[in-house]
Amino acid sequence: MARPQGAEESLCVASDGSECLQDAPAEQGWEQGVALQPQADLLLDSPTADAAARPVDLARDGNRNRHAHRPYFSGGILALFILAGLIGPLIAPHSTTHVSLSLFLRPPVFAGGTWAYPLGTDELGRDVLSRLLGGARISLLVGLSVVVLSGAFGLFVAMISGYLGGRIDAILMRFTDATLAFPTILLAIVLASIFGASEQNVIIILAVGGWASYARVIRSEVLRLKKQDFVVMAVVMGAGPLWIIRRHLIPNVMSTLVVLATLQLGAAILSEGAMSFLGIGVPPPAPSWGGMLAGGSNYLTTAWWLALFPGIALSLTVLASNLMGDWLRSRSDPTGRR
Amino acid sequence: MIKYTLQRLLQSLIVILAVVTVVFLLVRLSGNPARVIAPLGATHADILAISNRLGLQNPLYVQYLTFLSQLVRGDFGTSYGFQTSVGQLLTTALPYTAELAVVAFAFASIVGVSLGTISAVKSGTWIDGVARFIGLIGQSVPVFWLGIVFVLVFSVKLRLLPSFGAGSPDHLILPALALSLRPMASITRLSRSATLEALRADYTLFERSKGVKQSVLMRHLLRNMSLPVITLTGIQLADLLSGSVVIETLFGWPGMGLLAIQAINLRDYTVVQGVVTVDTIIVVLMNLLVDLSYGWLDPRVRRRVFA
Repeated sequence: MARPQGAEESLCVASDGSECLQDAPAEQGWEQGVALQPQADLLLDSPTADAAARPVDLARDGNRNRHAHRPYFSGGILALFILAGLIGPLIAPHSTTHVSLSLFLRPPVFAGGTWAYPLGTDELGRDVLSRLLGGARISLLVGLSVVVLSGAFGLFVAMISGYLGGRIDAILMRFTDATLAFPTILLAIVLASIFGASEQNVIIILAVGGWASYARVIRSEVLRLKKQDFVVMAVVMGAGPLWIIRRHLIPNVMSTLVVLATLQLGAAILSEGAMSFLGIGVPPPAPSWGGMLAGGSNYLTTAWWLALFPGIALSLTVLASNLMGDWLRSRSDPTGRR
Repeated sequence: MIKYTLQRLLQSLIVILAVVTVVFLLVRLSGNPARVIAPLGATHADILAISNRLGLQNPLYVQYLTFLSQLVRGDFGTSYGFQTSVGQLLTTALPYTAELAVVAFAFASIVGVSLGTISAVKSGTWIDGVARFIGLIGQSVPVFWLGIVFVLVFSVKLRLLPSFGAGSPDHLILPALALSLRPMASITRLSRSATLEALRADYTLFERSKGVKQSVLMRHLLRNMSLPVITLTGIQLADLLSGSVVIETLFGWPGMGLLAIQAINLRDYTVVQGVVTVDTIIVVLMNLLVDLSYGWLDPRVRRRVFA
């Protein structure tokens, strides 16, 4: 996301070059009525202030400590999450959906329970640990599907918009802006009220709401790349658009794509949780973390563990994915400017 | 300036029309809307009666035009689930959501901007650490889990605040606090990075070398960092509305979000349609205001766009 410094007067007032999206075409964008504002969304994507702290530090100690903090914590959590999603149901001690009312609301082992149910049981006597492992699979499946679908579509729009430019670009970006500004939850409410809730609908809704940030960020990358010598040379050599996109543009936006995908993974898992919590996401009895939280919130006074464990699992997974995205972002900035 | 404003206003209208149209078409795509609206276990005759009442025997474009003309006059139809007009339900619910959102957003802005600015100026100190921690946690912790934890601590354990319903200022505290964390996180992060940027800018260096007073410098800093923060509010609003659906459901706060969720459970499609339409109008208009204020705040943009 690095950008040649001082090339044009930038409208972006934020600290991080990586988040200034509408550099070169800002002027053109305004003429065509493309709203400036959604770049704030991407400003927003600069979470842990590391990136922002950098400019001041850099003056003093240069580039030395940039990669000092390897993401052991976030990497470990994510690895655990993916492992749980892949083989969790195989190693789970009990069924995720089997109801045995005689076992209801057993406390976790450290609060007087037994090792048979290490994290206790819920109001229907289902094992909380097994359901957590099952929930990891749902979160992983939803998260990855959303990332792949919206990433692919966002990349597609970005390439068309950035490479062709002109009127098509203006229309596509206007559409992108509208999508960015629209609250995904409203779409979820509409679809749930008409078609009912299902895992598949959750993935569709989140992908429909999620492609726009890819389109916007990658388009600005394409606009920058398009003016660089190696692309201009390729055009002079007579290379076709598809060849240029495949050989030059896509490989060069890959790192940006990966950063966005990692950040979106966390956001998608969080949204799935919220939707399932509201009862418009993954329907019961499937063990979604959000659904478990919703069920647990009715037993706060008697069985705190029901709301505690899925909340921790959800928070840690999203936190790890955000931290990893930030780390990748700071790493992928090749100029070391920040 | 006028031309640009009109152009943006027209675009906003198009977006609203597009959303309303998509919602209109979606319900027809699902088959017979009467079946969606009809309660479970309705007989064939019931569904036929509803069909006739909704004018579903008319061609699609007639239905669409009728729907639009009613909408323009503020007629959202009748709710089958609640047995009253949808407009009435919306006017009762909207102030609650507005109250919750405004309080949460004001709190988030005040804390976020102060914390972000101070942490940038005092970069590397403990307060910087606090700001960065909030920036990170606010982005990762699910708002509904935070709400549950609040209820557990403040209502169940400490018995300080009510956990459900509305009516007194006490009822507002927990939901507003829970709702404010996410915008607070992004405002803190953004103010921090914008202030850092402004601190490095040439004009700051120049003013410092001239020996300008700290308070004057601060005013210039604030004005410059306010741009990205204001720009953020439009996006924040969409996020805030999403969050308020969850928070309202959790705390039983009788706003638009809770209304929508109740309507889904009652299979009351008309109410959902009304909520979505009103929410869309709010979001689009707020974004329009933000866009216009951006030009007003930044002379560089004004010169370029409004010339």
